[in-house]
Amino acid sequence: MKTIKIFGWLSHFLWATLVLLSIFFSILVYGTLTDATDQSWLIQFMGKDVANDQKTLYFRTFVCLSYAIYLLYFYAIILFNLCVRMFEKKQFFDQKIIQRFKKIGLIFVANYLMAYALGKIFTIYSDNTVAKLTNFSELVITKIQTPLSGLMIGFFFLVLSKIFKEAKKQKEENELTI
Amino acid sequence: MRKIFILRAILQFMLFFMTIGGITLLVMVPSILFISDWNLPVKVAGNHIETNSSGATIILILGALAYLFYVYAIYLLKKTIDLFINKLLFDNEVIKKLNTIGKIFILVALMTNIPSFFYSLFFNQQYKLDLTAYYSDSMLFNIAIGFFFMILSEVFKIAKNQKEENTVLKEENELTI
Repeated sequence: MKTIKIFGWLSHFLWATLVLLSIFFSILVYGTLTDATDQSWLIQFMGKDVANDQKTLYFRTFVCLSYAIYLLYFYAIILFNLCVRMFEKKQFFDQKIIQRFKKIGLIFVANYLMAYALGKIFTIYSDNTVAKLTNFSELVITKIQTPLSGLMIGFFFLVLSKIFKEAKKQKEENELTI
Repeated sequence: MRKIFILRAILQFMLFFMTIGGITLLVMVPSILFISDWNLPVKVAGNHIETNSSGATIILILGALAYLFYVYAIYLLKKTIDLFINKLLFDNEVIKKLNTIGKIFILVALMTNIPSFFYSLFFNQQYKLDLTAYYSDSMLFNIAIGFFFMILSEVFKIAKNQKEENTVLKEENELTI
């Protein structure tokens, strides 16, 4: 099972990069929560311009929701990493793995939908000029939204969870027959 | 198992647009390579490629091939899901397909990222090699997904052996009774 070993190292490395990114993201979120938003920024909520005195509130809401999506993704990767550790111990058809796969699938699907909705509700420009370069919200959404393959991965994990459940049943039947 | 039908629908949707993309690519890549006046800006795995050099030709061909391989992997995944729908879970076909999908994912990640990275390193002095886990187009993420499919293939093989053992045990049991 050399493949599992290589995969284990990779999964550790990817998890570590996510930890580093989380620290960076947390500092950014902390910055937006402590400082008031620049009044020159153009913030739109459901297509309508937000008044100057409410810009900070709306901006903070957007950043916090994006952060929540990121944390959920991070949690899914932690769960995946735990599954890999169980694979390394040759524990394949376990109730924990089935539950974790289900959770990972649900998180990927929910994240995809939430990021899509967030992109539709909020439009934030880091200047008064409406241009692609200043489109802050689009930049954030493209970073947190996994493309269609994210939705595919989500449903794939949900299906895998069912298949592993089936395999577990078989294993138990096997043990009972013996 | 409603989720499996949603998954199949997503895969069919992806496959449809990816096939159109593949056909466009088959027409566009020779045009870009042989009509030198065009000078179109090309980006492979985040790296800018100048289309009028021999190195760029190789990278573009490799990129196009990688895209076609990727479409084939999605096609295989759709076929695997079809087998799941037909209740063929731990079947030789499924095991083989999952293993092939894994290998293709790893190959595609290497084919698109490594050559374009070295090209940009030597010719552009501006390069990108995404090793993070966060972006689903990052090289390591795709390699990890590839390995995951290969492991799934191994796990399904174990489940298949279990199923066969189960059948033999049941038959033996019935004979003993």
